[in-house]
Amino acid sequence: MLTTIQEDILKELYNVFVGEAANLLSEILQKRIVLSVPKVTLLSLHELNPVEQENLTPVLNGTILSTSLKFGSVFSGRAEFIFPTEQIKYVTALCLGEEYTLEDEESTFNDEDFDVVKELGNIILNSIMGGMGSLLEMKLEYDVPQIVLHSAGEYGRTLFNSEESNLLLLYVNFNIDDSKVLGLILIKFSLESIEFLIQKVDEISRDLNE
Amino acid sequence: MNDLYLAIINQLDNGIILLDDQLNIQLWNTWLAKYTGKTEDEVKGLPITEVIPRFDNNIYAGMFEKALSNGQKSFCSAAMHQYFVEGRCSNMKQPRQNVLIRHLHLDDKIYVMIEIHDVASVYERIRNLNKSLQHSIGFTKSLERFAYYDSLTDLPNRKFILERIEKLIQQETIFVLFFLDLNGFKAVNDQFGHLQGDLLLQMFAKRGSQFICTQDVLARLGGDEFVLLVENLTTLDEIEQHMEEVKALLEEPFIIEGQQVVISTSIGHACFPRDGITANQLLNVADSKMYADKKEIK
Repeated sequence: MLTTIQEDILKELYNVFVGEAANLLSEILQKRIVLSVPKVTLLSLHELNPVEQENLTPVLNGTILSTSLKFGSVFSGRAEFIFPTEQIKYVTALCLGEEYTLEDEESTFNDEDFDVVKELGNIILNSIMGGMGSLLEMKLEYDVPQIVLHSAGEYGRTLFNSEESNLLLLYVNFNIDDSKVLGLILIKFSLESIEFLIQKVDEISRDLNE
Repeated sequence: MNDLYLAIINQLDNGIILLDDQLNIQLWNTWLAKYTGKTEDEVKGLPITEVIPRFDNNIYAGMFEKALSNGQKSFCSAAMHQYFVEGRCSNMKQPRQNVLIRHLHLDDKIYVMIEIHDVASVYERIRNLNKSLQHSIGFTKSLERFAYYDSLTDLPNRKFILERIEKLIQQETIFVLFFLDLNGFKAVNDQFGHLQGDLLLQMFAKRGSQFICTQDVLARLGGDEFVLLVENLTTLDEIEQHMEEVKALLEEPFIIEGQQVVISTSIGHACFPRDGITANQLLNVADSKMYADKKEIK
């Protein structure tokens, strides 16, 4: 659905947005944190057949923790930052500078883990919303993200049943000191909104060629 | 501000601070007055960074600025920031606070609203709940171990092996039961005492366990009687070869008080379904064959 040029521009833009989040996180945690978006994909969810849905990304079929927020009125949609649950204890241990053991993975999640992920989601999604607002030259209204734990398969089912069918999928590499964790950012847009975003991307592309 | 709204804000079980666009305090609710010992009159009009020095940092300055300029909301977790407001008593437990920074637009004026949630007791409660859950899981596991395992040898006990046999019978899985009885165990008890006799049983169990495959079970029925359950042995040759291997392994000398002790093992076997279709029938057949084997050795 995106041309290579559109994809490259979006990838660069989102790398700038999450870069700002990484700077803030580095300051808060006093650690070297690098966030990068190596891949951006735009999908039309309603056009995917069941096999394509199943193969979309294996992470979506597992148990996951999502922080999500609804944004905008004219330019609208829902942005979500998700982590597979097996990585949550690892991420919180990395963020808090605690030692991570395999037993941690098996233990139950507590409010502290959820609050860490909520804050990470808040910082990352704030940067993305702020960046998109500047790009589109409009103020995007949104609230603090809500955190939800989804059992295996539940997230995928909700995703494919949602009203907004256009999904921008951003793979996020999360480097804390020398450790790496993979998260996903999903931004669901209404058709008008995605057309508006692509129009802006095309304007940037034209400006670059002039 | 409307008195009713103010009364509600002062009833809340969390801290509420309202800052004007210069980041000076305009509202400081009762929760904060109780928590910090500073009344609203004392702090009103003062810069937030003066009253709460932990906010005097670029990180929070950026959050306040973004809340004022574009309505951005920021959440700061106790896990990552620890706390913001210090309690008035030095002996209060370590404060842990979540903070929410948001924009407020009222009567053509913009404000920053800060919500402070004390989560120290919540975190502690959840941690204690998790701990108690882990304890009760551990207790259940230890009860299970007590019910199904022999405390001397740590091998599965009679209850365990009977349930396993019933299950395999239900599933119609072919298996062989070997009934093992030590020869000369009484002599060891008489010569070295019961403690050394127990030690011999433990060594026997350890050596026998090394022999078995994952799905096989070596259980202690009681005294010096053991049962070995092996799945999928079908021919008589296979069964006899297995029996000889077990005998040979267990005939290797054991060392007790520096002395070599050699004991032999009498073994009888029963096959499901050929020799019986209940656990008792199979155990009786294996037991009888074991006695026949013992008589031959004598």
